[in-house]
Amino acid sequence: MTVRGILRRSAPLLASGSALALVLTACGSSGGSDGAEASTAPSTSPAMAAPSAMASMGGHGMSMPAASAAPGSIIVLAPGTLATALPLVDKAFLKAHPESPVSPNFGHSPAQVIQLQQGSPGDAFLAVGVESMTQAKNAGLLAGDPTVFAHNRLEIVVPAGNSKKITSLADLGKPGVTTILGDESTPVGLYAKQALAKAGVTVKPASKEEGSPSVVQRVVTGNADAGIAFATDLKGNSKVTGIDIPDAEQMPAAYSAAVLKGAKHADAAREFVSFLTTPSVQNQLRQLGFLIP
Amino acid sequence: MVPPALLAVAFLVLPLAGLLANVPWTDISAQLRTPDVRNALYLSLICPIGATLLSIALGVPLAWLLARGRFPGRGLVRGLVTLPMVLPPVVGGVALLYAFGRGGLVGRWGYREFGISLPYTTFGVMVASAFVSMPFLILTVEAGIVQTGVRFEEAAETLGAGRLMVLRRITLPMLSPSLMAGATLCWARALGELGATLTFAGNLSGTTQTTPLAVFIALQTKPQDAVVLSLVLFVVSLAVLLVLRGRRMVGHQ
Amino acid sequence: MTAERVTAERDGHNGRDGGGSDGSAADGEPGAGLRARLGVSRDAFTLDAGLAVAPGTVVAVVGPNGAGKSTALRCLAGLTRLRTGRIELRGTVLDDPSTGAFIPPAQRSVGVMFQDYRLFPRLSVLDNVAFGLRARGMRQRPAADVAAGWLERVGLGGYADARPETLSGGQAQRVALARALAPRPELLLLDEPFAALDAESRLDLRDDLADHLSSYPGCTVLVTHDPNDALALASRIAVIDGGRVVDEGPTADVVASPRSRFVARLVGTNLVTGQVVGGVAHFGDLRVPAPACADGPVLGTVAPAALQLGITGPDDPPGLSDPPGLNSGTGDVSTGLGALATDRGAPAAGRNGPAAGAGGVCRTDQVRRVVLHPGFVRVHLAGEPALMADVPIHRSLALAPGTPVRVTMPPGAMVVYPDDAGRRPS
Repeated sequence: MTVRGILRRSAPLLASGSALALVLTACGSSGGSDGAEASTAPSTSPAMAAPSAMASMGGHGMSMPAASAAPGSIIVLAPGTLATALPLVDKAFLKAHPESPVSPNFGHSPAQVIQLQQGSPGDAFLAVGVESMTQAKNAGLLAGDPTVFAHNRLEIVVPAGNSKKITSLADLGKPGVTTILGDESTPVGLYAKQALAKAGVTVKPASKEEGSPSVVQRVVTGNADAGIAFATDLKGNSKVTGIDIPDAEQMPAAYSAAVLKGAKHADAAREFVSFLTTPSVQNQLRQLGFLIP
Repeated sequence: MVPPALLAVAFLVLPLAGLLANVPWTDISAQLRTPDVRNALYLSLICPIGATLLSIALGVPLAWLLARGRFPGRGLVRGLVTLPMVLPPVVGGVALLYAFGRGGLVGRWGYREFGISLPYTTFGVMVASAFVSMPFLILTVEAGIVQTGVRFEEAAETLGAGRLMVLRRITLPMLSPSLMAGATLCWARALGELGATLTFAGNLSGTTQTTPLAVFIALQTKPQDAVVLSLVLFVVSLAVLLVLRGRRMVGHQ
Repeated sequence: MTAERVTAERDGHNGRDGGGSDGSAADGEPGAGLRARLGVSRDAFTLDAGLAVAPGTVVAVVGPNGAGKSTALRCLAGLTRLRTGRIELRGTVLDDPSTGAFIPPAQRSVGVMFQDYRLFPRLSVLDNVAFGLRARGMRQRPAADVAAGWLERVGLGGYADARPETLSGGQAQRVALARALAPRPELLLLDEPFAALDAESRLDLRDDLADHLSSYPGCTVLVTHDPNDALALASRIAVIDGGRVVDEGPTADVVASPRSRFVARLVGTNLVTGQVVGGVAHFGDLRVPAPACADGPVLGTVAPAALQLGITGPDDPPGLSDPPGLNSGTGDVSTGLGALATDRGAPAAGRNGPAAGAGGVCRTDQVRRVVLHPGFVRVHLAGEPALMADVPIHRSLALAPGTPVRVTMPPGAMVVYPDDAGRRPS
């Protein structure tokens, strides 16, 4: 009797507790649909789950969101593919403008547009792909026109040694080749899909990852024979080899930057955006594998 | 006591209210009929059940040994097998890759010898979910076994009952409440599982994309879809909890 | 069952094994009952106890907590395996580590009534009682009939469909007894059958249990810490302490002239150890004439109610003032235990040879502790050997820890008998 009693009393508590928790995790991010209860600080913002999960998966060290930023710092919303490059840029910017430290907030560009629509704070917006920037512009989030400061190329990523002898996009459609693409909701997935269409190749991917670093990670851990990722995400990684995709099939992704209408530090943000196109920064980005216009 | 308690209720319930307030009620049925959504819901039906069955098959014997066995390092084993409860699920997924992925400790061998590969398969989703949810079952059932003790089994033995009869008429009926509780916890945890699945099994509609994954992906671009799917998860969990509570109330009378 | 019947049964038993002091009721009839030598060691604890039970009799195993009583019961049931020794029931070896013979609990003809009853919570009362019959292969319908018969016998005919959790403690105990007896085991083990009950229902149920046991043909081992259980139900007592049997014999003898402090405390009597030198027993500074005892170690018992206390003024030299005894009229105030203590001189003397007809002895002492009991006050004294004396409540008001008193032991109050371990099993 007591055994059953205790179980009966404790089990529903545990069960309901965890079920609530799962509903919360599953739904917590969904506040992002309109302004009803929009969060004002990025630390509680909808997309929190996304960058943190991606950070662990892609192996990138991502900075904390802007909530921890020092007062007066510029909040820069940036895509995950800039996670390596942007800190270097920030350092250089801080040297020139010691009064304006930069606090980057990484996430998916489309998600960040939604966040901004919800009223999340931000001074500058850096996006990969024209789609997100256009969306932000149409939503009236931008103060001025965006500036394109770099491009990224798609590459086929294969394990070092290339055991399946992959040389072109056409090889990705062959049977027995486990191919990983990005999900179409992410720039890398969208562009890969378009590139494959250009090449006239049909690929049945084993998985659609939520970002270019995750695609690379699949190949790094030996769980895929090939993937399509941004060139910058496999540069310097000795476990994988990049195979060039010819220009005819290429879908270069443009990185653009713009000052946000709701910027609290508009002047500093403007400085930062123009800083991105200075020769020294452009040189730095080139070294990291970006294409410079 | 009361103000913080009310605050706790508000804290836990308000997000759900926010979710409900954002449901696009008018086109909900259309959204639920898209192939991706239907695939996700189907996988969320079978994968947590598969994970729970896997957890029962392997977890109950382990719970038994932890509760009854006397072997050195029992505490260590218990600690190790419950580690997935505190491990971030994404880390769990990476760990699973290094163990059961094609290049993993065991996975390498299985792939080379038999061509078996867990990632990108529906079974891989069940494995990833079981990894994070089995500890809930193990701990609950172990507690049940410990609380029940050997008292009734001993009594049955002295009355002439053989092992099979003891198991069938005493042990299993006595364990069923904790087994039910453990299986429910396990199932609930598996239903909401995201990180380990995404990392280990991948994300492909119809094969590995369960509802939480679909929610996660949809959030990037189509928050309305995410809300609808979340609503379904919410309703299903609520229904399960109500059904279980109902059973319990009947049991109390 | 009445007190007379207990006595009669006990006497009959004494007659059967001739009041012998060999301590093994079943020794004379090999293969008839239970013969066991139980050896178990675990951590620092070692059990090494001999036990013998004749068919149709009850042996009570008494002893302090942790003495090994429950372990002994578990060994007999087969729930704990012997390390050394041997268990034999009606000629069948149940456990013998030296030959590797072991019959598991399920195949032993043993019924156990556990201290916490252990009624299966998910089965009805009837199914609980029928469980052992079904387990031994009886079909559902006849098993239910037999079980229903047992429920009638224990007075619970109307409770067949009840759930165990709805029963009172006494009802649960009776169901447990019916469940243990239904398969007609050759050995019945009762573990503290009344421990879970309140004092009131205990008395009634003790009588009921005595009735059921009187018609039970098998051997019964009763583990209890309550001497009243042993008196009411058992013909023999085995006292276990520290894993060993320290005393064994017919219930009346063991209670009348205890050889262990445990039993002495249980029956509420003073037990002192000493030496006889030249017809005088020396117990510390107490000297008691014991003309019939040979020189050597002796034990002495005296009922607390038999001792008389007088208050001495702090300056009074002992023996000069002679206040009226605080507890004159001892017999009137003594409890059942006291009465028992007074009565038992004769059989003890009869069994152990001549007891000393001790002359009156006086000593000064000091009150250490005063404990209130229903109807009397037990005064624990500080002297050596430590004695207890019972005093009527209305005369105890002047007594407090530290109060100097004079203790008077009337002639014949103390029974002295040789500490020759003659009653103990070897």
